Amino acid sequence: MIPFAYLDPISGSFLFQALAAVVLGALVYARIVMGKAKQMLGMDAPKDEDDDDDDT
Amino acid sequence: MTDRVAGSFRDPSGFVFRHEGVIHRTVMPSYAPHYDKLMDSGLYAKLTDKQLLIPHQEVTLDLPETAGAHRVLRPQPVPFISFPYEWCFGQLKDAALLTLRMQKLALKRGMMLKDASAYNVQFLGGKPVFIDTLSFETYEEGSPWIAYGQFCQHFLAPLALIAKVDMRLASLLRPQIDGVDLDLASRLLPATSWLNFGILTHIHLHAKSTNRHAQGASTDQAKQATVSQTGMTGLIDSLKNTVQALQWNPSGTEWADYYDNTNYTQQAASFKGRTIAGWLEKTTPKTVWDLGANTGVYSKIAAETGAYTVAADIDPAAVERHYRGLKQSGATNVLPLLQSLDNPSPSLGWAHTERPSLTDRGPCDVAMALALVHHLAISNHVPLQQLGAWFATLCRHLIIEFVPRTDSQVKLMLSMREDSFPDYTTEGFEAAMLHSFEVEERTPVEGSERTLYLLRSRKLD
Repeated sequence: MIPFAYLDPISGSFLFQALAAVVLGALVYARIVMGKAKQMLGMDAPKDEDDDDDDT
Repeated sequence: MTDRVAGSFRDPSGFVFRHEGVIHRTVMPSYAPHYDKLMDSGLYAKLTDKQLLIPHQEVTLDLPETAGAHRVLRPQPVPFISFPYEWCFGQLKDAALLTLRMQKLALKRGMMLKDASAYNVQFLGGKPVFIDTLSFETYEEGSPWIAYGQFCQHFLAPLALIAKVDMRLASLLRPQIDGVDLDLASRLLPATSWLNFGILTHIHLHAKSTNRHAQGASTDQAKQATVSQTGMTGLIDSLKNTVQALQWNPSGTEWADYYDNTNYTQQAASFKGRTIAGWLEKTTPKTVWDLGANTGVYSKIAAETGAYTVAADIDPAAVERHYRGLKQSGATNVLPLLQSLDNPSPSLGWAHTERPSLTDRGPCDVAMALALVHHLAISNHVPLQQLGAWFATLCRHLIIEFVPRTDSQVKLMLSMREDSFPDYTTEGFEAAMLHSFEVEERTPVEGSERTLYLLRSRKLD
């Protein structure tokens, strides 16, 4: 048993997040490609509630 | 008079203090670049326009507390501070979705949330609102989301436990002030949850990774971990989809169908409603606490007088139904709250000051205890005099209903236990209340055997 005071709660979360983000980012990328393909085919892609906020 | 809010010490970016009864917040020089970016990037304007972030005014105050501060903010007041362990499933879920939406909007303007604590959310105007203006920091391309683990502990784990195991596990948020540990959540969730992609990713595998690297050997490796902006978007979208898919059906509890099983006649219910409305008009409260509110029938009457109404009930299904009803109706001045009155929210956190007890968040102008006393006095054995003494610290006026022994509900209660309540009589009740209150009005409820009282606290005069 590791003493509670010396536990590192962040490292495992960061490393896991980096790994998960690669997989989940690939899904986002695939969704973007699919959305563009649908647009080219004249189909409506689903909109995010904050898509219209992109005024940067 | 100025005093620092005792629970505001964790974030070196600033602290919250009360000046002449009004909440203020300092922005310390170390946080100045982030604060200026929040204001200059248009993010603050966008978030406040959408009523997602609490608006504030920048003020000038020459006080010892504000010496050296970059800015002093006066945020819009929140009428009642509630805590995640007092929310129903729907409230916690809406707060989770708000936090994710904030993170996504912040990323679009080159910022991100540095913490995702459920305590950063309050309910204002019937909707969750983010209250910690100093939670935003400049986003650097490649940075992981530092608050990812906190989001999972504060929101995802308790929501998943409620949806997949049992609503009663929501109470874990009370002792676990930093959220539900992911390894504990992972162990409590059923085996079938491993088939849910979001729960598998953000709870089970996340917990395994956190435990595996808990000895600190991977600290350097973790410092080099990078997350692309697309990866971050994927992470947030995945969390959002997981949270959105979690459902809880508010049914089958003792109180959720209370109004279908009550012994009130239409005549008595109508008389009771009229009497309460009249007494509320007479006392002109700004704040009302409806204790034992169920799905909020009488809270609605209080809210219609313009008072900000906290509708507390022990039953999660009743609170959930009330919250859903209010969302549909668009009511803005009622806050449904989970509260067990025989064990109300205590003071929690460092030095018992971070999260004040229910009593410490009062007093309110009027409390209503309708069809409640027999539950506390008979089911929970609370002596009537003690009950009155506590109520008198909570409110200036109390509208209270006495349900006599001859009432069918009390008869049913007494039939299931030894009758050790010799003082549970109208005379005993009045004598007990008189220790802490003065009686302003008293009226029998037409069409029933019950009596309503309007009392004035002697302790808060």
